[in-house]
Amino acid sequence: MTDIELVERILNGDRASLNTLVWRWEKAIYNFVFRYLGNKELAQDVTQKTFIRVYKNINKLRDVKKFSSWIYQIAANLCKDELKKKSNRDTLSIDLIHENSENGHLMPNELIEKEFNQPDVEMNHKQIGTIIQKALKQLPEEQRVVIIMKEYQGLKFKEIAEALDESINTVKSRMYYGLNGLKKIFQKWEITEEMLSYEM
Amino acid sequence: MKCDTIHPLIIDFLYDEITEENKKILQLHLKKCAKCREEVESLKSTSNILQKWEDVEPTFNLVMVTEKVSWTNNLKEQFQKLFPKPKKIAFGFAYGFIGIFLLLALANTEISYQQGNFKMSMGLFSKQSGQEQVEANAMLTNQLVEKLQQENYYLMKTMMEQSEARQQKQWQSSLVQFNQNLEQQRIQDLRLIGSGLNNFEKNTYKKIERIDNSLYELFRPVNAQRK
Repeated sequence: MTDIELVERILNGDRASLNTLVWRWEKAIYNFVFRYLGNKELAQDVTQKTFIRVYKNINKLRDVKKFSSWIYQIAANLCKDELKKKSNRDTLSIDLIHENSENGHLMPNELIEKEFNQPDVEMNHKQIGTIIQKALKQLPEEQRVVIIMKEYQGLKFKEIAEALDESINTVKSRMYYGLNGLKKIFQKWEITEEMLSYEM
Repeated sequence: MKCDTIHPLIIDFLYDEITEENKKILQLHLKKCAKCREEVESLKSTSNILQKWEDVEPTFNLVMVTEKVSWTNNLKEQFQKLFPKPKKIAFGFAYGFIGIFLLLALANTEISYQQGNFKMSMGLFSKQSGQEQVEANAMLTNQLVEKLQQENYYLMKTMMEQSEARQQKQWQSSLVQFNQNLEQQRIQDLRLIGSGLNNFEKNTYKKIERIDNSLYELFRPVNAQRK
């Protein structure tokens, strides 16, 4: 059964279909939120909130075919709210990120020392995740969300534009600058594709 | 073509969203521009690095628990299912009901329930015999009240009489018993006195005998000395 059929069933009062929809989407949404916020507990919380909002507002979904953009829109908005709350709570970041005044990039000095300058230690999935997460965190939020939606959620640029309520060109431009930003960060940290393939 | 205008095409190309037409434009540009060629390669590589970060399994299972529907809501829903246009029908019913009620009121309808029988009567416009009926009703009730009072009186009377008779009987029986008791007591006392006197007599007799014996014992040695 497709998502569209499921949503139509829910709209017709079949509450059980909502559980099917949740099972189908929880992993995707959780991973999206986790990559956006970088915190597992918070990601769980926001995933839950996303589905509650989906349940409450599903009647307002105008075009059933746009369900995937719509659910990501909800999740992205909730993530934005969380980050706002977080920045209000602590103006000093709790992460180990220090500003590097030389090139304007933010650089996790301690992290690099910990993860890279130990050639004997094999890098595992978790460490790769941590490094990419740190790199993503250095991008402006608007670029980061586009990259996550494209690279990990596999959305079309049109869908990303719908979810973020932006034009397709804006989305593509953010994607371009985001990717370039990451390229520079990886170059600075001397991370190459081959290295990661070799280490794994 | 300027490199800036090629950037969106590079992005489209990297993610397989490029049109055939744009693809040709891009390929033409890449042939001429080494900088853009290099950019495509480096961005592809960056994208590949990003792909190394794999999805994680959520450590929880979300289950949407729907609220339990109260039976009134359930009833409402059932009703709505039965009647697709609930508001109109409900209003229709309501107006109909009010209309019938008004008509019945105009027709002076009387509905009564007496001893298992429903009675419904209608008198168009106001009743003229109303007053009479009220009087008749009053008389009937008066008669009923009198009858009831009389019945009450007789009942009370018989009850009083019965209780009096019962009391008298009780008195009599208790007096007889009292007499009997007295008599018995007297006889018992007399018997007691009689037996007491008898005992006393026996005792005195024994004493006298003992005295006689002792006197005899005394006199015998005296007589022997005299001889």
